[in-house]
This record gives sequence, C-alpha cells and structure tokens, in this order.
Amino acid sequence: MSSTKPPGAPLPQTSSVAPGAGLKMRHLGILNPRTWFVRGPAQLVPERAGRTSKFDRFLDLGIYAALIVLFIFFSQASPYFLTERNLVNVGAAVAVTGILAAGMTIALVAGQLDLTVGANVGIVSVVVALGVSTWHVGTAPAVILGLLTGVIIGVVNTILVVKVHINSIIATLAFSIVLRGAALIFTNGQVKPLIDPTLQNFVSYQVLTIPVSVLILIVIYILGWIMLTFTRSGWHIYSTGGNPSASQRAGIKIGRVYFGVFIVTGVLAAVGGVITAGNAGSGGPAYANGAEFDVLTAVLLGGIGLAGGSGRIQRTLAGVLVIGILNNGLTLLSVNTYYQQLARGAVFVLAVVLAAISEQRRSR
Amino acid sequence: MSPVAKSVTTDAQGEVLLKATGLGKMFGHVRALKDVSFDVRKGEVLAILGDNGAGKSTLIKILAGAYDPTEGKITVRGEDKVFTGPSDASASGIATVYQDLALVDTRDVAANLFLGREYRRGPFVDRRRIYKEAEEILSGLTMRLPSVRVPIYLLSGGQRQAVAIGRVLVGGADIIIMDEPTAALGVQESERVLELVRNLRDSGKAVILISHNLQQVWQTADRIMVMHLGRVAGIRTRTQSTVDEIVKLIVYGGEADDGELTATDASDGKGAAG
Repeated sequence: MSSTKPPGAPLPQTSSVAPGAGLKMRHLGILNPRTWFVRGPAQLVPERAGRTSKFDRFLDLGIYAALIVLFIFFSQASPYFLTERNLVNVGAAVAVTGILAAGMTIALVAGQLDLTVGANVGIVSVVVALGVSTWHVGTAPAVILGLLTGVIIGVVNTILVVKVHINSIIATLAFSIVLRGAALIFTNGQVKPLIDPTLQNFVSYQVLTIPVSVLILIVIYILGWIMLTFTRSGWHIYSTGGNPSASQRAGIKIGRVYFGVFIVTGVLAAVGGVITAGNAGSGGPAYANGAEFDVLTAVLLGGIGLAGGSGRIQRTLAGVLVIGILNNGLTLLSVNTYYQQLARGAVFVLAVVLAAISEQRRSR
Repeated sequence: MSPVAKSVTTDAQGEVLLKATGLGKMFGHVRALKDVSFDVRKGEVLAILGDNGAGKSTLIKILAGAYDPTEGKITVRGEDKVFTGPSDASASGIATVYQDLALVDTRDVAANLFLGREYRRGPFVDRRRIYKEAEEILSGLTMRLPSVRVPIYLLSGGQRQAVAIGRVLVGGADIIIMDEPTAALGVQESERVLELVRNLRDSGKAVILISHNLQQVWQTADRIMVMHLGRVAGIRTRTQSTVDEIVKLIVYGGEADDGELTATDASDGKGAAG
C-alpha cells in the first residue's frame, strides 16, 4: 500500500498497487481489518504530520468498540441478554429508529437536518390507520397513502429549504409542529386502531426468526451504503454537503441534490411510520414523539459530521445498535426508568461532544 | 508536451486562444472597467498585475462568464463568444482556479479532481477509472501528493492548489485563469505552484495569472499586463521590460490614455501569427 512509502518519496508514475485492486475491502471503511494496524494518513503527509492522531483513530473506532463493550457487558450482566428472543426484541425495537437514522444520515451528509422525521412517523401511522379503519381502502393502498404522505413532506421540506432559503433546522422543526397538529386534527387526538390485522401480521412476520421490520432495516442500510458509496448521486451528496458552492461551480445541481435527500428522508420516515402502525396495531398522532432526538443521538454517535460532507452509513447502524442495546440492557437489569432516561440524555450529550470534537479536529 | 509546445516560449508566437477587445463594465453608474483589450496565446503565461481596485477581479469574472461585459467582446480561437454563465465559459475551454480553490475538504483527491464529471459504469461511479486517471493526472504535475485517496483537509495549501489545477486539466480546458494562486502559501510552496504554472505553459496551455506579487510574476510570466483604475496601463513582454517600468505602470498607470493603449495593442497584434 502507498502508506508504506517513506515521507518525501516522489510520487511514482503509477502506483505499485493497481487502483482497482482490493476494491471490496477498501469500501468496508473501518470494518476493513487491513486498516486497523496501518497508520493513518499522517505518515503520508509529512507537512501535516500529527493531524491524524491516535485520538482521531480512537474516535473513528470508538463506536464499534462501544458496541462490542456493551454487548459483552450485558451478556455477562444478564442471563437473558444473549437469548434469541431478546436479540430479536432488540432488532424490532431499533428497526424504526434505525430506518429514520438512515435517512437522517443521508440528510446530514448533504449538510441538511430533517427534524420532521418524528412527526412524519406520527402522521403516517395515522394516515395508514385511517386508510384501513375509516376509509376502508385496504391495507396495501393505505400503506401507499402513508408513503405518499412521506413524499409530500419531503417536497414541502425542499420548498422551505431550497426555494424559501430557510435553514433546514428551523424549517423542518416548524413544519414538524404543523404535522403533529394535522395528525391531532385527523384523529381528534385519539389513537386510531387498525381493524384489519394484515399489517400487524406482516411487520411481525419472521423469516428465519428475523422480523420483517428488521429485514427492511437491513435492506435500507445496504441500499443506502451502495447509493452513498458507489453512485454518482451519492458522491454528489457528499460533495454538496462538504462544499455546496464548489459543487455548484462544478456543475452539480445542488437544489436537486437537496430535493432528492428530503424525499429520501421523508419516505424512509414514512416507512418507519408504516412499521410503527404495524407494531402498535394503531395510528397515533403522538407516536414517535421526540424520535428525532434518538435518531440524532444514533447518527452523531456514529460520527456523522454535523457540518456535512462526511460520515458513513454503516457507522450510523452501529450507533443505532449501541442505543438499542443500551436501552434493552438497562431494562433487563431492571434499572429504574428515570435513570434510563438520564442515561439516554447522557449518551446524547456524549454524542454531541464527540461530534463537536471531531468537527474541530477536521477543520483547519 | 508536444514538440510544438516546446518551441513556444517568451516570444509568444503561438495561436491566439483568447482575445478581448474593448471590454468595459459598469456597475450602475460606477465604471469598473474601460476599454480593456488583450490576447493570450497558446503556450504563454500572461500575468495581470494591478493594485487593489484596478479591475482585475472584474476582468476575470467576465472571462469566467460570471459577469456580462457592458461593452466589448471576447473571442475564443477566432470565434466571438457571449457567455451567459460560467458553464458557457468552461464549454469554450476556459477554466478558472478560484482563490478559494473550490475543493470539497472532506472528499479525497480523486473525487475532487472529477467533481461533477464522475465517470460512470452502468448505474455506478467508475471508481477504478477515476482513481487510475487521477493518479495519471497527478503524476504529470510537479507537486508531490501522498495519494489520490487522501482527503483534501489533510493536504497543504500548495498540494490543494495542485488538485485545483489538476481539476482544470480533467476538464480539458486550454485557457486557464488563476486568481492569486500563491496568496496563501509559504515561499517554498509558492515556488512549487509557480513551477506548475510553467509546466502548464510548456504543455501548450494559455495561462492568465492574476497576482499581486511582482517578483513571482517576473519568474513566471511571458507577458505582463498592468491594470490601473479599470484600464490597461500597459502590456509588456517580460524580456523587453524592467521591474522598474512595471512598478511605475502599477503605481502611476502610465500610458492610460486611449491613444497609447491602441498603440500597445497594435504592437502586440504584430506578434500574433494567428
């Protein structure tokens, strides 16, 4: 690898390693075991030596280390943790947060924040429940209506952010309040039960003990990873988030990138809403209240930069699992729920602190 | 580096790639540029010097297609051009390396080189080809870069400049405008960047170099155009001029009346074999 080149050696005409070689391993990012023992780019760039320090690498590996530590700890602390049934529970519990976090990751990479995801889940669960129980359109059309709601939310977010030029934090926060209000009006503030169990049965249906909701989660992460890493859209999302004006000058239509991103987060949140309706057997205007903060915790724990242009979706999944395992483990250990709340808050703070630190270290 | 390019040196006998005639620009009632005429030839570095407010930035923005000139015309390879936007200018083979370099710090060198023109293979980005060509482009530059996979934020100022220049080469531009490329660099790095500029010239590009630094211009430019208060104070061939003369042009504007300007134009016109 080029990392073994002594500092100051001239750039060879062509690298000793064919550029395509080891393609698959490289795309694993930090999962690639070959990178674990190779020193980072600090060696490669003598002028900037020390910029990628041990601490940076610790931050890089931290989320995976935390995941492993928590896993080992809870499997020792509770005899129920490692049971198949409990692990399925963890999976089902993180499915919705995980799906929302995938969307949030893509938005953050593009340099935008979408805080409508929680309200989106709420209103989509309501739309699905109304479709099944009040309008009697059948389960599949009700689900489609729910997903369309997600598309519309994405369109409105895009208009507010791209056309009206409102900061995405403010725009999506404000719009999420509108959505909650609309959901309350649709249901008169009530939880609306699903009279047809089809959706419930589908979401909890297990394929080789894996619930469908978890399968959807896995498929979304694989597709998200492929999109961000291998497609031109993905590259444009990274560059737009990293430097919008440079991307624009390079001919990338950044308005279109933002549009795509908000549609993706809107639809993914709608998928979360459909699964929530299925899990609960009902639609409720207050469902997933405050979910955007759990989602942000997971995303920031995964090291997705708030400034945009960086982050990997597989790390978000690790962040989601850390939170899921923490919640599950604390419950198994019968920790008082007030303390669980405290722990969640503390993890959120920790995630923000880590994000701030790595941000500072990355900027010059 | 074709043999043709080698023979093209300070005498500027190359084909005229870009010619500006009587360019002027008004911002409301404020005149930023008046009657700016010059040309740049294949395989030459034309430096544009001038104090703050001399009109350098306005001029390059016009050439880059970011501003409409109020009067005058731009001719590229003998064809009159009207730029309605930066994409028109780049379609004509004009590329601008901005002072901020327009790089995405979080992305690696190769992704930046091919920003906005990523090769595709089927539905995917052709990473293999992008990384391969990125290495080829960078090995053609004199600036040393650790790897095409290093993110920009780990690079030094000069290395970033090299990436920005590399991007121009990816775009296939042959008229390259560089806005203060050494402004933020140390002595050694500046030297390497100027070396890059000379390499571009030797490979047959026309380079327009905007600079404050007369010493660096002197090492690099074939011809020097001095601007003063929105006009061309004079265009000099470096080998036939002195630092003193250039400094006087910068400070006093010299021959800035219209008659003299035309004379300068005419004498330059003789050199153009076209």
